[in-house]
Amino acid sequence: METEEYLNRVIDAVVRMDKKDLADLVSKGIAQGIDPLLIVNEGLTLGLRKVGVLFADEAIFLPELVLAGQMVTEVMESLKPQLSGDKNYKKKGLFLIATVKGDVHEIGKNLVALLLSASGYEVVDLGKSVPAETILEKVNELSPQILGLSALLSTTMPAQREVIQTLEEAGVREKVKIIVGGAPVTRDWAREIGADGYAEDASTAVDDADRLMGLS
Amino acid sequence: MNDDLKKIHDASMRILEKSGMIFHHPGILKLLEQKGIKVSGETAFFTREQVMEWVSKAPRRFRLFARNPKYDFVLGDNHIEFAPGYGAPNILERDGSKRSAVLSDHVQFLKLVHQSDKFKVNGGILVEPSDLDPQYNYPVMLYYNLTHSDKFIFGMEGKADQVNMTMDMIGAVFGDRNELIKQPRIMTIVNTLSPLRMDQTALDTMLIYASNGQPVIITPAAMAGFTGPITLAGLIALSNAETLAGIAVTQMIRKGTPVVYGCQSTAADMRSGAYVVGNPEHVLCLSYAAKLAKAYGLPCRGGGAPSDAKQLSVQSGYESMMILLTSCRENINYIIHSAGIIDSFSAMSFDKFIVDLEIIDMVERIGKGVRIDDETLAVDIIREIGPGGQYMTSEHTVKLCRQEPWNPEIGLKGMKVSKDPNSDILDNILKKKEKMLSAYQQPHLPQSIASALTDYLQSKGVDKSLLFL
Ligand code: B12
Repeated sequence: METEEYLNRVIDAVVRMDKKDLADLVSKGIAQGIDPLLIVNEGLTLGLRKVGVLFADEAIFLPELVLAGQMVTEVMESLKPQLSGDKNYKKKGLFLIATVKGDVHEIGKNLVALLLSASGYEVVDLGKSVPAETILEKVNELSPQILGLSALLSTTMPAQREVIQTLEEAGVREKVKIIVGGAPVTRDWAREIGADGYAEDASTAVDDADRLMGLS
Repeated sequence: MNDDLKKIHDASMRILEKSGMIFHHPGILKLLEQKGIKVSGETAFFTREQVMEWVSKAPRRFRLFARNPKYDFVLGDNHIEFAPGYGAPNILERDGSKRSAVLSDHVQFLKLVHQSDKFKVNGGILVEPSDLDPQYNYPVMLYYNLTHSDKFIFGMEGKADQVNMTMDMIGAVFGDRNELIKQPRIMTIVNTLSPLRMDQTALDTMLIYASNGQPVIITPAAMAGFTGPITLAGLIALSNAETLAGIAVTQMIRKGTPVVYGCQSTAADMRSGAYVVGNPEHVLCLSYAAKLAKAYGLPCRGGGAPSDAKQLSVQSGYESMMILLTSCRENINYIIHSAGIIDSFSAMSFDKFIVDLEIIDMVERIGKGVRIDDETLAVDIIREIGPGGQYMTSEHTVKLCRQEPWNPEIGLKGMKVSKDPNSDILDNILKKKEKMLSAYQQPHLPQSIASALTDYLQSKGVDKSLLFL
């Protein structure tokens, strides 16, 4: 099998969300001596991108998109031993996410977290109603590249500002990019409180994270 | 209970036995343990006997008392009461643009709700005003509810300090807390956090309301495929389990405390993840919830006239009618979100509020059904007019032509066609709204009570300028 034909079959398996076929293909490719980095970059990643386009066209539904992402993440994990020597392979970055204090709405935040990890970020989810101090602690401990803050209540939106202020006071604001979101949150609000990014839904959250990481 | 309901009930009992329910509240967990419920960490596991025994202590029906007794009503049996849209932080304008709601919008809605004879209830969060500090937003809104309407007061779920302020204020109007406990004067929604959890704020609210004898509505809002199973049977069984567990806890707090069986579970849009209300699944969930509540002998809440539409439109019309009609056909006792709510509970629209009053009116007419007696069967008149005759000029028709058929206030009927029928109906909507607002008269509240309220709020740090809009 030609390499190009092989990679197309990998892409196709991702799009069809055929976990078994994908796993078989990948182990066959490794056995045949195909460069694992090529499989990741020209196969798996392109497959996911195609899935993303189909999702935008509403041809693929959200749970399917998430499944495709998880499937690819698993395969990548299994390729880690082969890839670890290769400096070109790494996760896109560490994304810390939380719903702010006083707010227990977590479905949107969970979706954002799922899509981010499905698209190659390492995600640490701090959960719901998380106080600013806890977020500061975790930022210090984990040094994430991006921090995502969710608020679903207009009355808890000020808690997003509070987190930013807490990070500023602790002198670590510049170390992390901050993206805010949630139904009542707007781009204007994000600007007003000094956030670096805003996204109205989970897939644009991934785009915005990529933008902040200089990946797009 | 028919076989289907029994299957759902049985599944709910197995869920509470096997999966249990998390209560993020040390006080409630202690209470559960005291009552012999098995608690492990924050999870409580109820046997079916335990759940149903506590649920059976809840009253089948109860009376709610308004400041003006003309608006008192009973919740339960097949009696239906409407309540307006609730909780939205935005106003959706006629042109489809959205803006943050402010206190003056809340007050304008209070006036409209007060003016409409469809409601015996006023208040709650008619909109969530962006110009109020979240520290005291609910007490300030409650203050306006009390000063602008003498209908029954709908409350809100919130942090313990705000809910305690609510009870102080209600006490200031209706007598102290010892008086309060005798009569329900304020009622609120308390949400579960699906799947199978209740959070601290919700439980604080429940604790304070129930211990003051004020009713709560236990309401799950599970989303099929996200926070509940994607199959409706499982979603309904899960929601039922949560509601029953919540109701059981209210009875542990205070035996016989008035409580309502709520359900707001619905589908999710699997293409985007959005919460959807204008779907057939919502109709099916609320139907089953009503049937279950009635089988348990509990008053129920659900439904309304919500829509996922982003503007007053064809879609907002058909979705709202679908949900409201079903809510009434199922005799849901307390129908929140009956007017004004749009955009999946995210916004209120003044136009839609007026449209929904018309929908309520139609649905009420349907609910009254067909009166069947000698007079209405009109066999004599049919004989008199005979085959091939006409009824238009008969005395029977002339006498009843104004009261028998339903007449719209804003909808266009008949043969008159203008150049722009759409703007005609929009004009009718605006006219009706303005008529209602100009007819509004603030009900009397004794000066001593009004100043007690303003003094109280100022003592809590509320700015005086907020209290005299
Ligand atoms: C489901 C729901 C609940 C559930 C939450 C369950 C859960 N596990 O999360 C329950 C029932 C528990 C609940 C409780 C309450 N709720 Co609620 N709830 C909703 C509802 C109907 C849907 C929210 C949702 O999950 N949508 C689906 C997800 C996928 O969408 P999303 O959250 O918007 O997320 C997307 C984007 O916003 C964005 N996003 C989200 N987070 C982030 C973060 C980042 C970093 C980025 C980039 C993007 C992003 O991407 C997501 C995916 O596309 C909304 C109405 C609505 N349509 O928004 C009301 C709503 C938000 N709730 C409201 C209220 C008032 C309450 C309560 C106070 C109830 C009450 N009794 O009054 C309590 C508050 C509890 C608390 N302390 O937080 C109001 C808010 C009013 C306001 N002030 O703003 C709303 C608008 C409904 C209403 N009219 O009452 N609620």
